[in-house]
Amino acid sequence: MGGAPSIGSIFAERVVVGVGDMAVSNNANVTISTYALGSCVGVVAIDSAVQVGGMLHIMLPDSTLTPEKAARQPSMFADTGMRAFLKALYGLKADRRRLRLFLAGGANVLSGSDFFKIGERNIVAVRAFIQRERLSVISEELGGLNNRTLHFKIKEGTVEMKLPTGLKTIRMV
Amino acid sequence: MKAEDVLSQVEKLPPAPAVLPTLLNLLRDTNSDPGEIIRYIRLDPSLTAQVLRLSNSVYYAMSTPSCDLEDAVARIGYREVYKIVAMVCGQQLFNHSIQSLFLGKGELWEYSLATGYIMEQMATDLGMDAVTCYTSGLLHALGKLVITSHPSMDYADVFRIVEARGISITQAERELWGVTNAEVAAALLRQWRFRDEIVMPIEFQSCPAQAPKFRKQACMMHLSIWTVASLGLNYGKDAWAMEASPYAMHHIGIPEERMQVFMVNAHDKLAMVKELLVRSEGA
Repeated sequence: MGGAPSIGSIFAERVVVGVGDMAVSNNANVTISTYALGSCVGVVAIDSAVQVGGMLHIMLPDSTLTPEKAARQPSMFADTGMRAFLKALYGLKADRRRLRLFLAGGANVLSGSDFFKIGERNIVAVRAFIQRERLSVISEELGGLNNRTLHFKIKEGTVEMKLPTGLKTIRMV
Repeated sequence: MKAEDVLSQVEKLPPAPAVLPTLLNLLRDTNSDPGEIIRYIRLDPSLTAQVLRLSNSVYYAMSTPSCDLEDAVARIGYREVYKIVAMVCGQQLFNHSIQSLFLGKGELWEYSLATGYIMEQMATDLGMDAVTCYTSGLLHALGKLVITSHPSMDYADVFRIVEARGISITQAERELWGVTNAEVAAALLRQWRFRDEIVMPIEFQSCPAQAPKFRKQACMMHLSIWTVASLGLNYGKDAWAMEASPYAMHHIGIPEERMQVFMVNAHDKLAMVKELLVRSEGA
């Protein structure tokens, strides 16, 4: 190992997606990351034919909660966020039929109570949208007791998912 | 083991935010001398400097910067100054990483601050003392700090039980040690002379229905922890291993949609404060 760095590594870029935010790119050297998906749901998408990828970090299921906030930050909510995310991907020439999605997050407390299960509601809202749009989900890591951090490398089509105790790699292509 | 035993066995306890209980008492006393509040803050020069830096930030939209505490207090008010003091004290307490809980630097502080913000909003909605509730929220995770400094209490044992049996962290702490982090926090806060109004919501954060006094605040604390978790700020291992008490929600009566609005507000406020702190540190 060692020696001169590759051209790709010189131009490698890291984009961090915050809570209620998203990022899309057609630069294959980009790594998109999001931290601490708890009850939030992260949606990763790739169209490898055109090397377009993106990540969305949804916090809440329904934008009708606060339409003003949804207008300013649509990515915060599942309904407006998914619409904005797809629009941004299609804007970079991604094709719905080629898109592959990975979903992560949606953690929930132990209680059997139905109240405040935002994780579950986020999952339901995202899945409903995906079903309506007939999108293809290739893998899911949903629910559980831990927060998750995602690092998505567009060029490799892989997501490194970090849990407090370890790492898992998801291949999207 | 009792909470007091845990405190006596820990070699080095977290530094007491001595200024907070006194300031809170002064704020609550309508007859207190405003000069006394300022004199008290001034006892700590680094705290004074940080209060001035933050009160001069864009958040308070000052046209010209304050150069002394009197000026800052006159412009933004005692309650805001107190909240800045509490935030700075919280940062000093919680800002480091804790390996045994899988917490990175600043993560426990962010979590604590967000809990304070949710408590504050709930208190405002319910017509309660927002500053007291904010303080409770800010300090509620103190027991974890103490336990991680204890020579024989190891969270690895707690996580093993949690994962093997699918029980909450609090329940595992109780079974393993006979005491919970919430009870340890309460014992330390009593030692530091915080009032029951601050201490009891912390002590009964996981079982609010059992609080003999300040049950409403304990329910608010329980829901705040839940809400902050939904913001993704409950970092660390098995962070979602907690029981949610439907009693707390029924007792408080705030609809879930309103709680979600609190989440959005706390998220925005935290982002702003983090940016502010980064800027003021760079200044």
